[in-house]
Amino acid sequence: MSRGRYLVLYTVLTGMELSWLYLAAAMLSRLTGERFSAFVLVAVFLAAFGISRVLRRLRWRKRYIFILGFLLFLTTVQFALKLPFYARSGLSDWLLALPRAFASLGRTFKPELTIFLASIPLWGLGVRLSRAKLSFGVLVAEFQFGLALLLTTFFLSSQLSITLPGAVVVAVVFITISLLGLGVAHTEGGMSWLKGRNRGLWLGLLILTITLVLVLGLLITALVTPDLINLVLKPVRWLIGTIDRMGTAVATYLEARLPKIEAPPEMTREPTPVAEPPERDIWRFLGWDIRLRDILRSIFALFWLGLIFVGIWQACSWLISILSRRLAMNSGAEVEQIEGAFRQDLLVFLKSIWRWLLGLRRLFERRKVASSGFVGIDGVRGVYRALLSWAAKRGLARSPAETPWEYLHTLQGALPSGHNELNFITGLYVSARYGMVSPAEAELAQLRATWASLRKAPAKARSIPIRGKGV
Amino acid sequence: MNKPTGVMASEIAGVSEAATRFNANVGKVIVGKSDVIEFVLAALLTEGHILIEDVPGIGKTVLARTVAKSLGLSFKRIQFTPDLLPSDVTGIYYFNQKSSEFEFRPGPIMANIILADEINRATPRTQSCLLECMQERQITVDRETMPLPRPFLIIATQNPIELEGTFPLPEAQLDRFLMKLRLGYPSFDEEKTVIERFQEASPLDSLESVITADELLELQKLCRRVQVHDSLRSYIVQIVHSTRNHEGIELGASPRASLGLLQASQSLAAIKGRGYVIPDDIKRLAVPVLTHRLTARTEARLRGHSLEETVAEVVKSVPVPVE
Repeated sequence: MSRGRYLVLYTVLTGMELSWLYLAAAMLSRLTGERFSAFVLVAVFLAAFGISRVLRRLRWRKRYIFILGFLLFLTTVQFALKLPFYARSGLSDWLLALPRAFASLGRTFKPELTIFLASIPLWGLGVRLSRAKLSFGVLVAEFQFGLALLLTTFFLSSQLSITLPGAVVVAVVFITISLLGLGVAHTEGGMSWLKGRNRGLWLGLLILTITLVLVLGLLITALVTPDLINLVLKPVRWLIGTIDRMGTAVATYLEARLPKIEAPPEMTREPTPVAEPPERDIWRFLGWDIRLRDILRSIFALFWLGLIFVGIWQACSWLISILSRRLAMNSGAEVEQIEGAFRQDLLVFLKSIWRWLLGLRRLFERRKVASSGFVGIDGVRGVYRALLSWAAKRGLARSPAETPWEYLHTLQGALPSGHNELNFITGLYVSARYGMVSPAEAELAQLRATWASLRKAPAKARSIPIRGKGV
Repeated sequence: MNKPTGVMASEIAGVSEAATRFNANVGKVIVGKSDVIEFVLAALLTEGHILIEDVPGIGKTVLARTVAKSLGLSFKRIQFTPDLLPSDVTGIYYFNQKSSEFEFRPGPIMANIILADEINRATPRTQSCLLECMQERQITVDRETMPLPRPFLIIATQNPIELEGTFPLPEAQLDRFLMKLRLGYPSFDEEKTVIERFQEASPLDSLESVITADELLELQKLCRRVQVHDSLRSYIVQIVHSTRNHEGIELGASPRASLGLLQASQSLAAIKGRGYVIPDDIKRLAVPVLTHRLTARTEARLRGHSLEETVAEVVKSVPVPVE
């Protein structure tokens, strides 16, 4: 991929994320009484992106990088608190802002905590953006995700009666840059919907389509006025009214025909007046705070939102599968639709988050004392796992159906200078993994040295071409 | 937890060394085809039967004879024809007028290595007489069961062309063959070497045995002790299960196929001088061990997908147990 296109796609991806992030942050700001600007949260996201890019270049151990990253996160949050809340406060007030907010959590929920909690997912998103691989598939997924989040934000804002500044503009910008980015990524893969001399004009066709949709939207907005809607609804109202009148007439007729039942004399006695029960406020009776109603209403809204989200997801999946099938058919491939593919992708994504969280433990665990006789095997397996991870980061991930020896050929092809080292590691791994052959001390020492020398070839490793670009 | 048990390195070296002698000996007659010879040896060490499907004149019979001679085992050839009866294969009881008793005359099946030539030309009735031989390694004639000599191996051949007047082997019988192999045409140089080698006399005539029957039985026992990691057993079962769920396969492989693949992998590992099986062994043997046991769907056949391609596809779809 050329440097220019790389920059364009990265800008598009960042723009897509910033669009819905800004709206979500604006809504959060309104909810907390505009005590802070949405730009503060957006700045956290951008800071996370920049810091993550820098940290990736460090050659430290993972645990130290994690600790440094965490400290930088706290620092960023601290700076995010400075402008809205502590612009004119002293240093000590500013530095103790977060600890005090946590300390008073039992009594009150301070807006500083809102910024802290909102910063956590934003930080994660910024880190994720810094590691994003630019391809058509990634941009499609981002588009789907962003679109769903935009709609969620609009729905919540309407439910909670919050006005979001520039929401329409942001949404239009999001859709425009997304589709432009998708177009660029699409043509990057050399797969245009048009063949022959019209290849490459796909981008122009896309812009034309966007313009057409916008013009049609404006036309519809101009034509479909409330008067028109009233005109359309008038016969519907008449019909409902007619049915209602007919129903009433039938009920009256039947009532007239039915024999009247005379009440017995004792029943004509005036009933003794019963004191009306005092009007009760159900919430107070139950002892719950009135804010609970808002929470329950939000839960109800989220439930419906979830249903809409699923519907949009399904619609997008269907649309994308049609597009990809069309695309594949043009290139002569047979495509079979996989049921539940996006659900699987979502589950895989959630599982990967869970595994990552579990993996954090390993950074701080002491090395376990392995049972005798198997220290060597665990060591060999650990090195091979590290090799797999190292190669995957360089775009040489092992295919699931590849055996270690088959994978060795792949690695040796990409890294000829490490031919002997890779052969040695693979041979030792195969015997340890499948034969449970514990290596000798000398072999273990040689393995560590071999792995260390292999890892020290970053310059050569970076020249390994990235596999699997595009779809 | 898998602990390092099983066969010792020195014992496996013996298997590997015997395999080298065998390969070299067979190589004096058969030119090239080292893969096929290795698979044949693996089948021998697994005591599994082999089905060779190939065009005429490719060396199927020569291969079977060479294998028999290299092992110093008795060899019988049965030419399957439509008029062949089961008793022609197994043997009969006949009345000996001199001794006035019924005596059993064993059929050609009573040998260590049987070449069942053009097995698909015999009627299903005659084909089915091999079922008991292949599975239980015994025959039943007139309600008397007799064991077959050990080791016992059937090498059957069939022609993939000229299917008129033939009787395709039933699934039950195909499942009893451990492997189906194809020799294939030799390359230009190989064919030239063949005609040079066979120009004056057949090298088969002067071939000596390199492994005795007892030694072979010992090697077979050693191969059964080759270590198989639990994850590889799961891998084998996963491959076989995938054949049952593949959209292009109507009838998938049976548990017998899983066992066959496991034991053949053990033999192949031993031939390579390893005391343990690796995934490469299983992948290499998947096509010869599984292909003939499957039935393709009509749609797959019409699309021109061969079963070999389908099995290769299945193997590619099953993840190998690595970290």
